[in-house]
Amino acid sequence: MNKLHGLAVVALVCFLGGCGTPRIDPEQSSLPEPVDVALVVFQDTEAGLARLNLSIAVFDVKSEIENSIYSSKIQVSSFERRYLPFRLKETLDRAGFWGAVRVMPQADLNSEINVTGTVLFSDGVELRLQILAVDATGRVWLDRIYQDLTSDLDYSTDPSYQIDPFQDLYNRVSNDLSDSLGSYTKLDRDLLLNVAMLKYARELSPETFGRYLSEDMGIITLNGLPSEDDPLLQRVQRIRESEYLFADSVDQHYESLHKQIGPTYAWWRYYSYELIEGNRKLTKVDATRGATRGSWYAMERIYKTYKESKMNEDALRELTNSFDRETEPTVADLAGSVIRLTGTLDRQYEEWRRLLRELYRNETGY
Amino acid sequence: MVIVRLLVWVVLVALIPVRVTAEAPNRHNVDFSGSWELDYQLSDHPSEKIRYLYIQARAQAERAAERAQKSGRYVDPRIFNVQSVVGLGRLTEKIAQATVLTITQEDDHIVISRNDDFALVCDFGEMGWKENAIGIEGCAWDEDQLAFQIALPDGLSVFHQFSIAADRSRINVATTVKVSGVSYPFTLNRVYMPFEPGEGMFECTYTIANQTSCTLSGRNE
Repeated sequence: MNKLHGLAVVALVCFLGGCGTPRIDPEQSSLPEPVDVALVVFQDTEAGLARLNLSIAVFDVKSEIENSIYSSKIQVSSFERRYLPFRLKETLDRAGFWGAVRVMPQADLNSEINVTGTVLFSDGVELRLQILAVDATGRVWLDRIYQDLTSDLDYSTDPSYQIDPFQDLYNRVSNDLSDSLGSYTKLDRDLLLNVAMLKYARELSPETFGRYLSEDMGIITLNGLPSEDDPLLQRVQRIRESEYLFADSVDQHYESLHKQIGPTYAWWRYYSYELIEGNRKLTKVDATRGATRGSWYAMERIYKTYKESKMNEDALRELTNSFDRETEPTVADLAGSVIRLTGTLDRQYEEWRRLLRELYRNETGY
Repeated sequence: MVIVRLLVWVVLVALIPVRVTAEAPNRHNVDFSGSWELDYQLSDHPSEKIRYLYIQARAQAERAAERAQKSGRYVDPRIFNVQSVVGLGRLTEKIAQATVLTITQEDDHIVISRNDDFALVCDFGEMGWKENAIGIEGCAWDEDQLAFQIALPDGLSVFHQFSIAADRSRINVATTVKVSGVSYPFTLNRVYMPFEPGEGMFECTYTIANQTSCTLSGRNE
């Protein structure tokens, strides 16, 4: 009767609390083995083709953190969503297929290719990103989930832990993007440059530039081009240059964030790897650790093993608590006056765009 | 592999007295937060308790053996497992060793940090059983008491029950350890009283870059 009662309670507890059994995530169940991916680097065979600019928006985070015990993980995520795009940017720069590669607070109208991403999962052991790359005409280049797992080797090769253990993942994204670019002829690239420019112009003055583009189901078609000496287009180009300056300033901000907090983050990731791996190893060891089963010494060893795993969890929580970040105000030059933008970069970016639109209206009267 | 682990957990849970039930809210608005230190006077003294229970268990065993002898039956004295009282008591003493508790409690969770030990953490939003690297654990409100339960391999289970006096003058932590095959659990009551971490103490913070750094009266040491 007691056993039946016990089983009934177990069933209820399992139903209510999941019984602590490991959840099988369909995406997790097919985790790839860590593989080395070499970065494909631009070979000078495409000389003469226009370089396309590529913007990477700060990543989104698939956050399920609701409880304040884990609020410190939000800080780490908040840094990761800015840091990981920067690592991707560095990789794309090294690959050398692109014009300017910038990290921006939001998707950037100004660039020929926009990359957005979502951090699906991240710790010292695994990184999973959803990456979407769309060009100025709305054509999707990439829409994929990328995963990478680290091993002891990824951390042991760099004693200062500054080499990113997930570099293979960035290499794979970069290779996929350059692969897509390979099929683009000079004509295709020129079309993208023109569409990107006119999209920017249309944003500033839909009345003047809206007619050059038409849009159907998210795909933009170029209907024509304004004359190169059109004074309105020249103004747009000038303002676009200012936007580039701001974009560079924002990009520098991410670079400095990377320099300042990157080493701390690298350590955080390494420690978290050690603690997570430590606990994974503990699940595989005999908790009695060689003591005679059933003896009091064995019981003590079991409790000690459990305590060790809990101390690892505590250390990871403390480690995460100690992670903090700071954002600095951005100083930018706009039409001869120095503008100091404060608040989050996202807000700064919106403010900057508002100022540019205002400047255009003041100059053109539109 | 997953099924085997699931079966192991089911067996583990079945072996322990189930006190952790599904989400019971903190309806008495109990607040344990603060710094607490062991009150030696009011707490159980492990050695005395072990001695007392050992004497009791031995007397019980002797009486049972005597009864058996009178009725002409042989009873193996090992079934009374008197020595287990000492083993269980010593293990409980190690598990309930903390002399200082630092408790932070929010609406949705509690973290009970214990000196030289791991913290007991309860997420009030998810109070069911959770799997740990070694065993399973859970927490629950039992009226105005907060209970933590841990089920480990080889039938070892640990239960901590926290209760606080209405005037917040004391916290009692009843730690019960039970092992399958030993018919009686061992409970140790440890009483804690509030204290203010006073001036002159080192205040240490951990940062990833600097590791642990301590300050004394606001100055970097």
